[in-house]
Amino acid sequence: MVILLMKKILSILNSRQFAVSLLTAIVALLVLSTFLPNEITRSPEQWDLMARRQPLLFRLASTLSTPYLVKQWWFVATAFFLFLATLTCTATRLYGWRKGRKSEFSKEKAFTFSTEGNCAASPETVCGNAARLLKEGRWDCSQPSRAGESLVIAAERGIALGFWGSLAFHAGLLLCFIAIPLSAFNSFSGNLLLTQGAVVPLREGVRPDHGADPCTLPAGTVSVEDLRGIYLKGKFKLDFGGTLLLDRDGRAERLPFSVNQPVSSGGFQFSLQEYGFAPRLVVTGAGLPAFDYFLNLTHPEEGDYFPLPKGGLRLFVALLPDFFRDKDKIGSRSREPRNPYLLVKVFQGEKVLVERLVKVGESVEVEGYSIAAQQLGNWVNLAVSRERGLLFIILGSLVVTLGLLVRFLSNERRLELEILPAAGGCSCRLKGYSRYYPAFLENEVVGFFDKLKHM
Amino acid sequence: MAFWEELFLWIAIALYAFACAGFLSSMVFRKERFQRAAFALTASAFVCHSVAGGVRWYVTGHLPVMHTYENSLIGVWFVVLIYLGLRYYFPLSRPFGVVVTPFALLILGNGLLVGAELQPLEPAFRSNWLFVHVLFAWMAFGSYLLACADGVMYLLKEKAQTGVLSRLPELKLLEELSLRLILFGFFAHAVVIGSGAIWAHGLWGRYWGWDPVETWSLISWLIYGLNLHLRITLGWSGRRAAWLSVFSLIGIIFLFFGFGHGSSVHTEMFSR
Repeated sequence: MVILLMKKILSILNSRQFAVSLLTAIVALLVLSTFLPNEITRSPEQWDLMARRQPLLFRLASTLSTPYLVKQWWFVATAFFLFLATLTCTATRLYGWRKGRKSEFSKEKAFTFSTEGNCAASPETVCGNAARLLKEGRWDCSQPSRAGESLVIAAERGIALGFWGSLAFHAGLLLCFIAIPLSAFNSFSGNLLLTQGAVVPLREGVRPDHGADPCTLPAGTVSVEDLRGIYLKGKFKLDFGGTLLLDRDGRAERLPFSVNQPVSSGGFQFSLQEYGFAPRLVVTGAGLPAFDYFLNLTHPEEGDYFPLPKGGLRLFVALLPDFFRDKDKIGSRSREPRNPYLLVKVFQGEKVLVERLVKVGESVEVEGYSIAAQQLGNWVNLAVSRERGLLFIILGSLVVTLGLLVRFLSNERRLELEILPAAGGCSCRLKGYSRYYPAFLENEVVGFFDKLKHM
Repeated sequence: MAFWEELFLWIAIALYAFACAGFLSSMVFRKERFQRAAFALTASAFVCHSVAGGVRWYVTGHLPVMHTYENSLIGVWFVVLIYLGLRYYFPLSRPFGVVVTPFALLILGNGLLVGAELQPLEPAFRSNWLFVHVLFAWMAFGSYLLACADGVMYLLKEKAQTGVLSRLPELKLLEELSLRLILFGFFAHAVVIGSGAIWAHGLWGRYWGWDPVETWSLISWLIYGLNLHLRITLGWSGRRAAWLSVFSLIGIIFLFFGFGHGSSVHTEMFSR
């Protein structure tokens, strides 16, 4: 009973229709999922707003939008069955090859097409012409042989590895499939936001993504220095980077990083994601407890809000890195901090209590408040990751592309020309064999025969 | 945009527009001489287009592969190159220009609308994988587009057997040509996904993130995988296969011009 059931399951998994159906289901689900919003396509503010105002859509999106869909058990199960079907089909093809070892041009596997006609020249002349034509057409031509009265010349062309190309492609896909659970269960991803000069414990500084355990990070402290952000003509991004300082068990490491040039330590990769300004602002007075922080500005042009330690008060800070004033208009000439000013506002609810421009390095007294922009630092956001499946993805991609290239280039063909003496010349029969593309074969055979007759 | 780039680009656009009109006229009025002239115009447009691309490369100091305009410039160049190459090896594919030239105009127009400011190569793009990723992406797009053109020709030829349509390649040849184009596109697309994953790992610390562009790239690759399986494994052929070639392009259109780009990490690859 169990054996029968196993056989039934195996036959289902080995069915191409089953694999195609699973693939169709996966494509359809992915297509539908892309029409739903998610945290990648919406800003955190929009996502929160949707959660509050459109709870039904939010629930649907946080279940079926692509990043969430791919974590649903039924989607994972469908992908797993596709993996099993691919594995079974590939193994079956390999088994069939081992068992049969059929020639690529055996009757069952090849297309054939033949044409015949008479030529005015002698068989030897036609044979010589055919050999020349074949060589000109880069056919791998054999020596003519005699079979009774007839002369036979055969030639082959094209890479005969289509079967192996297809097999390699599917094997590569299996390797990529293996990478998925490896990444899902053993990887780590998170973000590390660091202000220049601040030293933080690595495990506490990293904000792990959902499900990632920060305890897997090495113990120690981390900081950044020598941060740089260089623009061409003051507006085009040119060079961003710095040095990461890792102190693990008393062993200090200095690792220079930049965009596209991540650094690795202890099995974790640190990649630069964001770079911004961090002015140190000190606000005192009007009964406020001391407010003295480096403010990591994420929207320097539009301004960012920060809560003040006195109930209901908010601080608005915008940075004008290359400040200019033209009559009533103020702005920044470039993105580089050549003449940095801060636009500072103190809000109570929606009411502005204080509004002032402060040059970095100076302080102002206004309405009982003292606002000092002491210095301008920078902050960076580093992606901290460990990808266990990467090796499989690289290997898989390589095997997939090589397999597809071989499969694409494979178009093995064979031509056999049989020449028989006949009255007034000879009679010829040209037969072509091909593994793929029968119409192209027919075209090729007819074209070759036309050329031969007119030589 | 540099002066010479602009001049040659507009000449190329004008020539593509005339070529498009020529190809359409050859279909409507069933005159082959329109088609011949349209092909000559396309080849001339390609020369001007190459000069415009070359000037851009020289002035910016990098291959034009950054942001929408440069991608349109180089992308259309590849699409037309593949068309001209196909025409060289398979002369009967000349009428495919009726699909290629309008697409060329649409893509270039979209690029010009977004803006063509001269910019240095941004840090996020300074990777050897960029060239592999972007160039193969456009090769895949070119092949898929020509496979779609092939499908359209198949359907037209099947309906009408007279005039210029009768000179189209035989149906079975069109069918096999479409299969080969899709096979090549599928291979190039696999290179795009593989190289993109490796590049993404260096840039963002992860090889896959279900970003809309990544998702649509995978979806369109799977659609073509499905297309190949339906044709090779399950034996879909004839009109069904032709419609399949035409409809499979939808995924690609979504990928390159779809809604996903506006809110994707592919738009702002590194934030400052």
